[in-house]
Amino acid sequence: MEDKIKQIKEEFKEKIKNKSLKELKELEIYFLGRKGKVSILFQFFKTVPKERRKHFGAKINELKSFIEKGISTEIQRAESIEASRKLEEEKIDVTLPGIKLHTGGLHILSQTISRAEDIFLSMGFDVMVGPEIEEDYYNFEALNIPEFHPARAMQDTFYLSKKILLRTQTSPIQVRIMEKYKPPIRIIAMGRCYRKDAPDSSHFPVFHQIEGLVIDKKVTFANLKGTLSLFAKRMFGEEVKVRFTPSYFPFVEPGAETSISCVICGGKGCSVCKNTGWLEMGGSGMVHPNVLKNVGIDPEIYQGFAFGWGMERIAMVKHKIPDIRMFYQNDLRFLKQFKG
Amino acid sequence: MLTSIKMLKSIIQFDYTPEELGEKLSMMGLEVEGITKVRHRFDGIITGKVKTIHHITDTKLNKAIINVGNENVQIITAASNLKSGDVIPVALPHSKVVSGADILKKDFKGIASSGMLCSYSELGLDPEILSGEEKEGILILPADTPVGEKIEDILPIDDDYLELSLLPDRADAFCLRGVARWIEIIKAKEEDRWANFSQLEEAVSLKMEGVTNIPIIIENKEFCPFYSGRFIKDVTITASLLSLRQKLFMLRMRPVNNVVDITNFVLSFYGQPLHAFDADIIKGKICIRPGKKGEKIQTLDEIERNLSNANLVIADESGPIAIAGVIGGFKTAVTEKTKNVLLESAYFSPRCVARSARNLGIITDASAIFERGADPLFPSKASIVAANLISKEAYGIPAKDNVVSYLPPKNPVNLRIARAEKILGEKVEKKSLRKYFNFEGFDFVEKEDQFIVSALSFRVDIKEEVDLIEEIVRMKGYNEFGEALIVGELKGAKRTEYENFIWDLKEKLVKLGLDEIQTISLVSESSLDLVGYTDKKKLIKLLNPLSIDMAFMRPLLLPTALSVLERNKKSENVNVSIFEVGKVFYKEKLFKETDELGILLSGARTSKNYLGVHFPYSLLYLKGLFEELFLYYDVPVTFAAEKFSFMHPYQSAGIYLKEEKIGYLGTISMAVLNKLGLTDEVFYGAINVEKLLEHYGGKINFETFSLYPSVKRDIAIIVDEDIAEKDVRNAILSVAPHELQKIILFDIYKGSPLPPGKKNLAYSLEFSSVDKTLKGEDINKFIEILEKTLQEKVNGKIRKE
Ligand SMILES: [Zn+2]
Repeated sequence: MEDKIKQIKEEFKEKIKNKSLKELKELEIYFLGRKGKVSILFQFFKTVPKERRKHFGAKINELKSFIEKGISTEIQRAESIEASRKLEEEKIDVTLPGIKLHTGGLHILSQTISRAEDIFLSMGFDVMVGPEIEEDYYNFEALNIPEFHPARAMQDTFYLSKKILLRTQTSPIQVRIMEKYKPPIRIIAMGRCYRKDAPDSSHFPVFHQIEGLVIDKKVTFANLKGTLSLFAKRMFGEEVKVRFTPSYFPFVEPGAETSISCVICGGKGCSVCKNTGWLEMGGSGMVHPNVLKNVGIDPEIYQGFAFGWGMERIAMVKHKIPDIRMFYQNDLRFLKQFKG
Repeated sequence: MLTSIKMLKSIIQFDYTPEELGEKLSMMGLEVEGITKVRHRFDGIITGKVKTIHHITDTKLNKAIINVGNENVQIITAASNLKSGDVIPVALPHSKVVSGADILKKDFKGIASSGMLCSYSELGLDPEILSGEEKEGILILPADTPVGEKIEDILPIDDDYLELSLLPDRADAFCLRGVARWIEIIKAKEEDRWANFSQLEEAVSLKMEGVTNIPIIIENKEFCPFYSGRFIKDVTITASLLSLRQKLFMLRMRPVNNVVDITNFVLSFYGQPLHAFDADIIKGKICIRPGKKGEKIQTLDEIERNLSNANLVIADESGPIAIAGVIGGFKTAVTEKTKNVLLESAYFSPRCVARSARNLGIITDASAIFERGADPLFPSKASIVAANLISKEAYGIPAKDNVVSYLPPKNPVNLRIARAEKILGEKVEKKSLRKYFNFEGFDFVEKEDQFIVSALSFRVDIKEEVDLIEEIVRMKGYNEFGEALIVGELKGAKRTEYENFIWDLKEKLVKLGLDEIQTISLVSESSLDLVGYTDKKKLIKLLNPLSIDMAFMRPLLLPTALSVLERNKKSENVNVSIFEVGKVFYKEKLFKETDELGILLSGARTSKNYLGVHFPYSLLYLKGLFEELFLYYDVPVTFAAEKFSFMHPYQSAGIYLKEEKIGYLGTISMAVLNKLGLTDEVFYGAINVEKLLEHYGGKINFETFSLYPSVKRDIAIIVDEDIAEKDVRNAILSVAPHELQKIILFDIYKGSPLPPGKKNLAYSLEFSSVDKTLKGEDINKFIEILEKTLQEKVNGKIRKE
C-alpha cells in the first residue's frame, strides 16, 4: 500500500511537468476523479488492517492534497501563460497612425477679433457694432469730412447711391453711439469695412477695423497713449513698444499714426518693417471738437480720444501672415494652421 | 511726390543723410515713405553738336558729323529727328550704355561709324519727365548745352529723392520750398532759435511796361477771392535753356516750352499754380464764373469736357477758356506761335476746386494744391517771380498786373493754456510755448492765460485752438508725452446681446466639427447666375465697382462658399466641412442687411485610412447638424420637401419656423457642380441667423431625469413607400405617453419579403418614468393604441415576428 502511494506520487510528479491547461484538467480527473488513481486507493482501504487504517487514511489524504495543490499551482501557472499568449495575439502596432476625425476651428480673423475684444472688455470698453451699408453723413460728414474733402480721396469709397455707401471705417458707429448715449462713453466698434482698393498683398476691398472711442471730462492724450500701449502689449507681447507720429485724420486733432516696434526683428530693421524697425498699425488722436459738436456734446466740457486699427493687419503682424488675400481665400491648409 | 535732395540743398543747407532727413520729417508729420537713389549706369557718354546730317541713299540710315569738343566724328544713325545744330548725347567707342553693351567702332556697308547717338533708354532716364519728342528719338538737349561734357554733369541724374506722402491738410508740403520750410523748422528746433523762412524767398524786382488792359470780373467771390492777370508782350517761345531744364529735371516736370516750363517751375518750386494764356486768342474781358449747363471746353489734354455749375470757369466773351484751378483750355494754350501772354495767378478755394475736379473726375497738380489749401497771399509774388523769368528766358515784356481781390483778413487764433493742459494731460509752460511758436516762425501776443497766435499765411491748417494744441504736440514730440491709463467709474463692459449670440453660434458650429470661413461680400453677376439666383430686383449693385467680379452685394452666402470649395478641391483638400456667418444684402425699398449662416459639406468626416473606416458626409448628416443647432437653441423647426434651382430636385427642403421660412438645405445639383468642375457630392444649407435669435429664449433650465431603469421596445412599421417618415413619427408622437423619452429610427428596409411598394421603418423607443419602474404591461397598452393610430393616419401596420 505504501508502495502504491509512493508510486502514484512519483507518477504525478512525473506527469505534472509542463502541461497545458487542458492536459492539467485531464490529469486532475486522472488522479482525483471519481475513478481516479487516488479514489481507487480508497477502495483498497478495506483490505488494510484496522489499526493501520488511520495511518493510511492520513497518508492518502496527504497524497490527495499534495496532488490538488500541485494541480492548482500548475493551473494558475498555465492560465497566466495562456492569458499572456492571448494578449500577445492582440498586439497592436502603436506606431500605426491614429484614425483622424475632422475637427473644426474658428477663422484666424475671428480668433484675432475675439482676442482684441476680450482685451478691451477687460479694460472696460463695451463692444459695439453697426451697419455695413451706411449713410454718407455717418461715414464722412459727421466725422468732419465734408463733401469734396481731400481726405475722402484717401479712402476710396463704394457707393450704392448718391448718399448711401459701404462704410470705409467703423467710425460711423462712434457717431451713432454718441448720438444715442451721453458721456462717459468707452467703446470699441468692430466690423467689416470696404474700400475701393485693388487686391494685392496688403490691400483687399474688404477688411475689418477695430475703432475705439473714449469720451469723458478728463480723457487726455496721455490716456490715448496709455490705452494703445497696453493693448499692444497684451496683443503682441510685453516687449512691444508703441510709437506715435504726427498724421492727419479729419476727425481727430492732434492726430497720430500709431506704430508698434517690429515684432519680427525686434526693432533692428528687416524687410517686413522696411528697415525702419516700426510697423504702422493705424490712426489715432484726440476727438476733434467739431465731431463732438455734430452730435450735440459740448467740447468745452467733454473730450476724448479715438483710434482705428485694421484687424487683418494685426493678425498678419502677430502670425507673420505675408498676404492679406489669404484670409479670404480660405484654403484649408491656411485655416488649419490656426487652431482655435 | 518725389523731392530732390540735390535741389533742396541748393536752397537750404543741411548735413543730414537722406535717411536721417526722412526720419526727421516723418517724426514731424511729413511722412517719407522711402528714398529713391538714382545713379547713372552708363559710362563715357558725352555731349556733341550735330554739324551736318545726310541721308544715305537706298538705306534707312543717316550719316552725321558730330562735334564732340576737340574733334569731329562720323556716326551712322537710323534716327530721323535730328537737324544740324542739335545737341545730343554721344556714346563714343569704348563707352558703356545702360544695357551694359560696349560701344565699338562699326562699319555700315563700308561707311565707318565711330559710336552711337543715344535716346533716353540708353541713358536709363525716366520717360515721365521727358517731352514727347525726347521720348521718341535721340534725346535733344537744350541749345545752350556745352559740347564735350559728360552727360551726367549736364543732366542732374545722380540724386536721392524723398518719396513724400501727401497730406490732405498741408498743401505747403507740395512744393520744394515747402519741404525746405519743414527742414528749417527741424533746424530751428535743433538749434533752439526762431525759424527764418525769408531766406527761402528770392527777392525779385520786376521791370514793367504799361498796364494790363484786359478787364477781369469775378462773379463768385467766395470761390475766387483773388485773381491777378498780367499781360506779357513779345515773348519768344522756344525750348527752355539748360539752367531751367536742369531745374525741371530735378523737379520731375516734363518740358513743354519756355513759358509753360516757367509756370510749371513756379508750381513745383513755390507751390503756386499759374496759367499762361495766349493773350491774342482771348476775346474781350475775362470773367470768373460758374460753368453753365451745355457749355463745353477742350482742355490741354485735348479731351472735350462737359461743364456745369459745379465747375468754376475762366471765360472770355466766346466762352470758357480754362477750368479754374484744375486745367487750362487747349484753344488758348501757349504754342510756338504765341506772341503775347496773359499770366494768371489766383487763389481758388479748396471746396471750389475739389468739387470741380471730382465732378470732372480729374486730378492735376494744380487741383491737388488748391483743394488742400494754397497760400492765399502768395499769388501776387508768384506772378512777379514768373514774369521775371519769362522776361529773362522768353524775352517778354511784362506789364503791371490787373488785380481783383476780395481776400478777407486772416484772424489770429487764441490758445488758452488751461485748455491745452486739459487735452494733453500735463502742464504746459509759457516758456515752452514761446519756443514752439518760434520754431514755426509764428507771431504771437501773450496774455495772462492765453497766447494769441498769427500763423504764417501758408499754414491754412491752423484755423482754431485745437490746431495750435496739435502744434504743441508736434513741436514737443509725440513720443515725449507720458502714458496714463483711463480713470473713471467702474462698470461691467459687455458685448451686445446679438454679438454674444453670434460668437456662441460660431463656437457651437466649431464644436460640430466645422471650419469657419470668411469670404468677400462683393460678388459677380455670373456667380449668382451659376446658382440660378433670379430675384434681380432685390439685388444691390455698386455704383462704382472695382471690377465686374465684385459688382454686387451678395444676397446669399452660397456663391462664395462654392468658390472656397472649388479652391480647396483644386488644392487637393478633399474633405471640406465649412460654415460662414456673415452679412447678406438685399433691396426692399431701402438697402437692407441681415446675417446668414451657410454650411457646406463635401467629402467625409474621416480621412482615407488603412482600417477602411469611412464616414462620408451626406444630406442627412447636414440635416443632423442643423437639427443639433435647433435643439441647442430650443427652436422648433420643421423641414418640408421643396425644390430649388441649384439643388437636386428630390434632395432638398425648406426649413420652417412656425409658418415662416428661415432657410433651406439640400444636395447641390450636378448641373451646378459640372459648371464648377466639381465631381464629389456637395451638401449645402443656410438659415437666417436673426430669425434664430428672435426665437431663442436664451435660458437653460434644469430638467429632472429618471432614476429608474428605462424600458426599451423596438417596433417595425410597414407603410407605403411614399409615406414621409415625418408623418409616421408624428403618428407615434401623437399617442405616445409622456414616459416616451427617445425615438430612434434605426433601420429602413425595402424589398423581399415585403410586398412591392412597401417599406419597413424600424424604431427603437425608450420609456422611463420619474416616479416608478415601468412594466411591460404599461408599454403594451400604448402599442395597442398605436396600432390603430398608424392604421388610420398612415395606413401602417406594426410588423409582428
Ligand atoms: Zn522688422
